[in-house]
Amino acid sequence: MIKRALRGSIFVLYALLFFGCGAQKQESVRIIMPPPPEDPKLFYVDSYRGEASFTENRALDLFLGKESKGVGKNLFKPYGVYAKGDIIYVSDTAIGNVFVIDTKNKKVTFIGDKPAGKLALPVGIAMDSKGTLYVSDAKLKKVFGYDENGNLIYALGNKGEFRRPSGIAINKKLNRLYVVDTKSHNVKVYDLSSNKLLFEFGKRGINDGEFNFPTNIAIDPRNGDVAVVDTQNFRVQIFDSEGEFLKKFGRLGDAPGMFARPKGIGIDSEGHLYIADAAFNNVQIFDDKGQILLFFGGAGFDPGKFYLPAGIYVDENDRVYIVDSFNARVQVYQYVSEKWKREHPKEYEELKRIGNENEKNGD
Amino acid sequence: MKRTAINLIISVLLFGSAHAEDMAKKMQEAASVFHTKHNLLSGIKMDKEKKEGQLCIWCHIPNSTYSNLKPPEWNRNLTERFRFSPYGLEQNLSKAETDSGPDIMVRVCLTCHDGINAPNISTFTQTAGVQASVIPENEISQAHGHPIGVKYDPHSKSGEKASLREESYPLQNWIGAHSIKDLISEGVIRCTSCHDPHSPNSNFLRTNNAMSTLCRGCHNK
Repeated sequence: MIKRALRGSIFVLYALLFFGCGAQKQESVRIIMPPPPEDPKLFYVDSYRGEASFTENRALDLFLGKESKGVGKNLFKPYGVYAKGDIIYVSDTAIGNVFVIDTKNKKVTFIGDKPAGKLALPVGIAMDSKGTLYVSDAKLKKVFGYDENGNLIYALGNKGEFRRPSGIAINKKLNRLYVVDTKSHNVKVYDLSSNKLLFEFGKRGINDGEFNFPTNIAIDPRNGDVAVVDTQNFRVQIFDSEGEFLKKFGRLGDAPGMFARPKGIGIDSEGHLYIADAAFNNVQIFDDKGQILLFFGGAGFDPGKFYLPAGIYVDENDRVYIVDSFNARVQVYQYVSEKWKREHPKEYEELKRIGNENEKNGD
Repeated sequence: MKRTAINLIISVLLFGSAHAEDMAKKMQEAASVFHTKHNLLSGIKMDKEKKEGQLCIWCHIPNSTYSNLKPPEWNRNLTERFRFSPYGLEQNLSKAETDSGPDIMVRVCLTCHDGINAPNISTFTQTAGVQASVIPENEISQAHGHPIGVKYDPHSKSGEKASLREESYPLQNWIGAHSIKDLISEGVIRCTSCHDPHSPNSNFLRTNNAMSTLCRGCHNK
């Protein structure tokens, strides 16, 4: 069984490219999935750990395969992730704040580390159309909102309102905030302009529309459908934006399409669902009917491998952000959408070329 | 030696490879889980018998049988039957002779103990293989009170400072242990050194901690 697992893992195409760049050697890791002759669907972009991601010895760390301790303030036990443009927001449940990683300007700032709106156990992250960043705190039992300077401008959660808020998502069109309350086994839906609770859906149970410790949530950008990871029922349930149960997929097991500890979820612009499993250290991709499309990962320190993956977010450009919690980093992938192919014809040809070359070399 | 330990771990974590007799014994032990927080179906209305049959599945992932396997749509060449390896088991096996990789027995607990599904545990600064980033203890708000993943060595500097007893020190009335040696397979402190996930004790402790009895099992203080 183990051997089978190892053999199967070679379907992740793995190549190291070396570029001579003056005295400094620079490497880039290419992981392209699936292998040819299939069309490339997903490729590895980069990983971020915090301030150490922007120091000089980073390339060496990557080459060694284990990113040794770096300077500065770095992720310790991250969980949730959100991204907008060049900025990645990551909640850290151990340090108790949100890392704001600016990948373009190569700097890291923090949210929730100041007295007003100081976070204790931040989990879910989402942003509304005005740029307010919302963060759920499972320990303080609230959802906080911060402006772009990190000032607290919003707080949700009277005493007893949440038992353990976790994953959150925002439907920008409807201006609604969806909050998963893990310990109440339901999802609470708020109108962001009035801050009123509109409705809630779900209760403890194993039947359709019921939850057993739901954790993460994502909204289908095409139609506003809401996908909730029903972690301890080992499945994903999909509801319409009004909380009406539509469908479910997944069950307990160790075969593709099954789950043991499903956590993070993200949905790309074409409606594919990415789901992280902390027990299998992998990510599985499904279509909206629950049919499995691809899976990748497995335990390890190298890029493309995970230890206890947690939150996932897919941004509007189909970049897939996967929190790799035990490895204390966020791995970024690009989904090769039809839109991406149109906008990056050269890169797309390059992806196919690299894939075919590696295939010939027997990698 | 290490192989044996790993094989043991596999048989504990995978239903499929356990012997029937062991299973029967394990099932009896596991029945005590029914009234604990590790019974994740408590509070759900369903047949007690059906519920009991599902007590173990959260940690011991059952092997799946394929009935209608279809290869993943984007990778149709993957026709062989594929099984995911739970808790990074394949990594522990491929590197069995080296001292690398976060410990599997810690990772099993951490899959749920993430602060969302269950209370957060996050002291893994010193776990072998991962040096995430060294952060002063006081900056970590959710740290577990005791180091996990460290070697048990009464003769090391920190071991002496902590007044650790010799490994042969006998323990009385501990669940699943007669001496310290039983708590530290492979010489490492894990969650399971102090906790037995099957224990009916409220904090899943291996012995009652009144008068610090549990702490004093290892610390001569």
